[in-house]
Amino acid sequence: MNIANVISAGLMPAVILFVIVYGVVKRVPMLDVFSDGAKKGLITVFNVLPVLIALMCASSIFVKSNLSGVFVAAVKPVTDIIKFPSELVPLMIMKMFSSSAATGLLTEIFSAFGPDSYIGRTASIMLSCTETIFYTMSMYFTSVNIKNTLYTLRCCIFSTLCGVAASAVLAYFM
Amino acid sequence: MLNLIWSAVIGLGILMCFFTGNAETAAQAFTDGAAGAVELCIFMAGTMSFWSGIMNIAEKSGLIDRLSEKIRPIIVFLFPDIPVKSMAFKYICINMAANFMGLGWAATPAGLMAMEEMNKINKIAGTASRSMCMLIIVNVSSIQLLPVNIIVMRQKYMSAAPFDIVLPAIIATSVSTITAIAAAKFCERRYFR
Repeated sequence: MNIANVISAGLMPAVILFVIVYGVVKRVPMLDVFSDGAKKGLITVFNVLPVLIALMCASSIFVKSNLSGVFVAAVKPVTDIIKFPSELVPLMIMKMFSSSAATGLLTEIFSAFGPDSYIGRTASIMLSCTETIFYTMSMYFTSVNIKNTLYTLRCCIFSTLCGVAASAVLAYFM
Repeated sequence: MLNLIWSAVIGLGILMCFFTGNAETAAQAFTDGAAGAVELCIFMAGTMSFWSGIMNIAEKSGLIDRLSEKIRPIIVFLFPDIPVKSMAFKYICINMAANFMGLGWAATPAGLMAMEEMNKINKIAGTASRSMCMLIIVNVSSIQLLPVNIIVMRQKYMSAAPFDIVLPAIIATSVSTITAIAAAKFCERRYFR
C-alpha cells in the first residue's frame, strides 16, 4: 500500500467515523438527526438540477463543436508572448468550464509528455490550485436566484490566472 | 454576465457545428449534456444527502461549534457581515474545512446551504452580497491542502516521484487563494461602503 492511496481511500471514512463517534459520545439521536439532514441535502440537490442541465449542455457543446479549439487559438498569441507552454492552454481553458474534461486532457498530457516532464509537472500543479469557475459560480448563484453577481467573475478569473502563473514558475524551479 | 456567457457558448457552439457541417454533433451534444446532468444529479443526490446527514450529526453534537471556534478569526475576517452565532457562519466553516481536506462532496452541500442562509439576510434581493461573492471566490481559488486525485493520476502514469508536486501545489494554491481574497477585498471597497 502506498501513502496516496491510503489517504485518498481513508480520509473520508476517517472523517465519518470521527463524526459518528463524537455524536454517540454526545448522545445525539443519530438516525433521526441523520435523516433530517439528508432530507435537506436532497432538496438542495434537486434545486440545482435545472442549472446543472443548462451548464452541462453548454460545456458539452463547447467541447464537441470544437469551440474550445477556437478559444485556445485566440488565447495562444498572448500566452506565447509570456512563454507559457502552449500545450497547456487547452487545459487551462477547459478547467474553467468542466472538471471531467480537464481530467481527460490531463491524462492525454501525461501519456504524451510523461508526468515528470516540465509540462506534466505544470499541469499537475495547475489542476491542484484551480477550480471550475463557471460551474461553481452558476451553481452557487442560481441556487439562490442571484442575478447580479457584481465582481465575482473578475476576481475568480484573476485568481485562477495567478494560480496558473505560479504553477508554471514553480514547476520550472522544481 | 453569466447569462451572456452561457448564451454565447451555446449560440457560437451551434454556429460552429453548422459551419463545419456537423449539425448532428450539436444535437448529440445537447442530449448528452442534459442526460449527463441528470445522471450526475442522481449520483450527487446520494453522496450529497449522505454528507448533509453526517453534517447534521456534527452540528447537533456540537462538533461544528468547536470547529468554528478554531477557525473563527479567519471567517470573521473574510465574512464580517455574517453573525458568528448564525447557521450561515457554521455552514461556511464546514465548507472551508471540507475544501481544505479535499472532501468536495461534503463541501458543496455546505456551501449551497450557506448561500441559502446568506440569502435570507441579503439586503437587495437578486444581487449578491459581499459575503456571497467572497464564498464563491474562495471556493473557486481552491484551498485543497493535498491534491490526492492528481497524485493518484501521476502514479497511474508511472511518475518517478508522484509526491513531488505536493509542496509546489500548496504554494500555488496559497498564491491563488491569497490573490483571490485580496482581489475580493479590493472590489468590496469599491462596491460596498
